[in-house]
Amino acid sequence: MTKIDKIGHPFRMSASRSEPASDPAGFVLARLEALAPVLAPGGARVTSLRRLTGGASLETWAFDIEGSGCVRQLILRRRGGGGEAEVFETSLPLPIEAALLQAAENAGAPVARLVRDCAAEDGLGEAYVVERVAGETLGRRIAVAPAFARARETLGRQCGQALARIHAIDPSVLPPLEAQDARAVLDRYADIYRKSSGPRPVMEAALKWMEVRLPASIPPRLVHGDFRNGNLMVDPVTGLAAVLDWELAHLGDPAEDLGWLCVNSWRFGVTDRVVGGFADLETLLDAYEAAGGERPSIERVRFWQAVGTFKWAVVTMMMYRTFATGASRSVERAVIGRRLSECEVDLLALMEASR
Amino acid sequence: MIDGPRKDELVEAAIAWLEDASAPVEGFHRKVAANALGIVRRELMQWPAAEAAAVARMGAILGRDGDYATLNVALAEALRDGTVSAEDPAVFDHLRRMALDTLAIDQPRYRHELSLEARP
Repeated sequence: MTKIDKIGHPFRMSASRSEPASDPAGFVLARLEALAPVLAPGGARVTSLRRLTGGASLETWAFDIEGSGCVRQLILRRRGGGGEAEVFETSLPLPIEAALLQAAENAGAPVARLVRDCAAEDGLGEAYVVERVAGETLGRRIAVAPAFARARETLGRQCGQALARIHAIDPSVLPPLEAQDARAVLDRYADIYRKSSGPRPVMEAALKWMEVRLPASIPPRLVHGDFRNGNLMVDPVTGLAAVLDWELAHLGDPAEDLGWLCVNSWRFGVTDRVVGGFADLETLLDAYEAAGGERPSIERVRFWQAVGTFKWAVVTMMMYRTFATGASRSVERAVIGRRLSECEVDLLALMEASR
Repeated sequence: MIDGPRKDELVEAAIAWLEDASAPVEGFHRKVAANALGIVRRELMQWPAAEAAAVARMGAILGRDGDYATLNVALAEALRDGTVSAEDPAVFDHLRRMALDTLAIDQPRYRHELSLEARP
């Protein structure tokens, strides 16, 4: 396993590793069967086991536990053996992610309820089990589909509320997390950009723009790190059902989450609804403030939106690199490198709006 | 500015997918391969003129001659060391045109908030 950057960057690039069991589904099934009584009262059988993500070394499995007249629908997340090369791997160990889920639930943020933080004797390696939440995660459907029109009316407010609750969590009750202020985040992505690409005028201009707008440091709070349309489980009627994908959580500026949610790439073509393609910024910030969050200035949100756009640019470079180095030769992986131009257009749009 | 993947890499990946007998002829991957070839087609048709215009603009900004790659790196370095600023309307307009010309090749349907022309 190699990391693209030596300073502990959250996106880890892993090469192929050998799966310990030649039949991963059989391996997982046997261990879940043994855990069934723990996972559901009277749990006797595991049914409908299926892998939801393919290829990643971080596996997500859906399954049901059937027992005394009840069925419990669950999700297993575990770090398995290899598969094809992946760009995005968590830097957070799964037990820490499990602790964050628990803390978020305690704080009243909508998350999938933790059912088991797996122990060594469970035989699943690094793993946890959560309740399976029904809904949609496809960002484009959430932003565009008529079926989600009702959800879109409340989603912006719900996101503001959820973020306020996440950011209100006392960092001292959390497992140790890396603290990354604006300076650290900017330096980190500037460094990866310089290692991944030749010099690019728009990226250099964007770095200068962000440098002069670097916000003052504030006491670090829990930051989700990947709170965007695409990582939200959304019910067509009731809206936000669960905040997913906690693997990039860290301590930092709460406005980082608010800005990342506004990055144009996550608006799925609904560019005039700044927040994820489903709400405007006022709605998000009003709800955030009403739920106890400290309202950041628009400039602070825009700064983090630019950082997020720059970060997404860097990620497209890294994804192209996994293609160029032969780690993954898929057309999809190649083409994503061409999404760099969308990031540069979005960075210039932010710069233009501030002139 | 087009860096990677290059045209030949996009075509190569699409060919490899087409030749792979085990590849399921399934909607998503077929669309991705068609998208890759569409990028190549637009690049062949649009990039020569965009590149020539970019060379002329960068030559004027930097006050020197050179090919696209040389001038582009020089501009990036000048922006980094502060000898050129994106606050300069001519520089910003070049960056805008460059980014929009590249986007028109890579993702012509991408919706964004950047003005298509310099604002008066």
